Amino acid sequence: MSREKELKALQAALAAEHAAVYGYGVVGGQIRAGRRTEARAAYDAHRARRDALTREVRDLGGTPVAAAAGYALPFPVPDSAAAVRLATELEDRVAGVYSDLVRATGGERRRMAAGALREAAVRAVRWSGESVAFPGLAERAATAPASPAPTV
Amino acid sequence: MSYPPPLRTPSGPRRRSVLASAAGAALLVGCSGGESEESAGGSPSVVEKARALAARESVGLVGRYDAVIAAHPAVAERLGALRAEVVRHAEAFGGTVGKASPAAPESASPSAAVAPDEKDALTELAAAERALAERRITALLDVPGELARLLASVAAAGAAHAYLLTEGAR
Repeated sequence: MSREKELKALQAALAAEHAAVYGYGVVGGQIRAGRRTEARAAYDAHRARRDALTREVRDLGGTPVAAAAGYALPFPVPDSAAAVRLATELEDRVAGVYSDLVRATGGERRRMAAGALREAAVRAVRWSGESVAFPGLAERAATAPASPAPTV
Repeated sequence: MSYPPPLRTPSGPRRRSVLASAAGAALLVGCSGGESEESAGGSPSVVEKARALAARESVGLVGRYDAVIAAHPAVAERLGALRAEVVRHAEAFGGTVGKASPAAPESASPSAAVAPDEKDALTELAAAERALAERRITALLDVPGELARLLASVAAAGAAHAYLLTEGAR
């Protein structure tokens, strides 16, 4: 694995965590009270991952990518059901970058990436209630019979 | 709660999609393909051994699902989708799974005896999923990138299964 590839994958993961932190801000604003604690915990988890990745990028001599000024949501989020759907999407997206980071790194970074992928997959099923056969592997998602239903 | 206030979404060139997460997706394009399993480190035999072990363990897990389903038919429907995913995991590692194999060696071993209480049985199955996920996260440290990525994904699926088997019952 080359350092350049590793750095690219770390930056991609960092960019996804920036987006997740932003996205969970939206989720937190719309989610029903009963799931607010869960949303808050996820928000905190993604902030912690973001900060850890920022350090990793610096350790490799890179300049950490910054958060975007704003993000376009994949769909309107007017209510709690949409917020749950968004949270699921955010976790799926994050899982994808961590699976790539697993491939691009080794040792402790790879272990960290695998752990982050596992956390994202568990949070995704907490939100959606639906399992996915290969979390984070977009190329295998198309044939997944148990992909999350579009409505939650 | 101290969520940041939702920012107004600019429509200019800085606009990014949360999902596409433009920067990340674009950056990754150059990362896939490229190195073969062998050139990425790890001899073919090491890779094959790791893959075969992963397949065997998934097949063994299918056997545990079958044993639980045989002992507690009421959960068959609930476990069906998860079992199907474990079958896909086995196949992804190159393994094959028979129709239903409650008599498989794995499920016939004393350690795989199914608890008479349904909830206990599911808890044990969840523990088996969790333990296997843990082993895979260790195993993936010693194999080349592509197999590591698959192992990580399957481990993540296993952890998600464990959640659905226990707390996910609602």
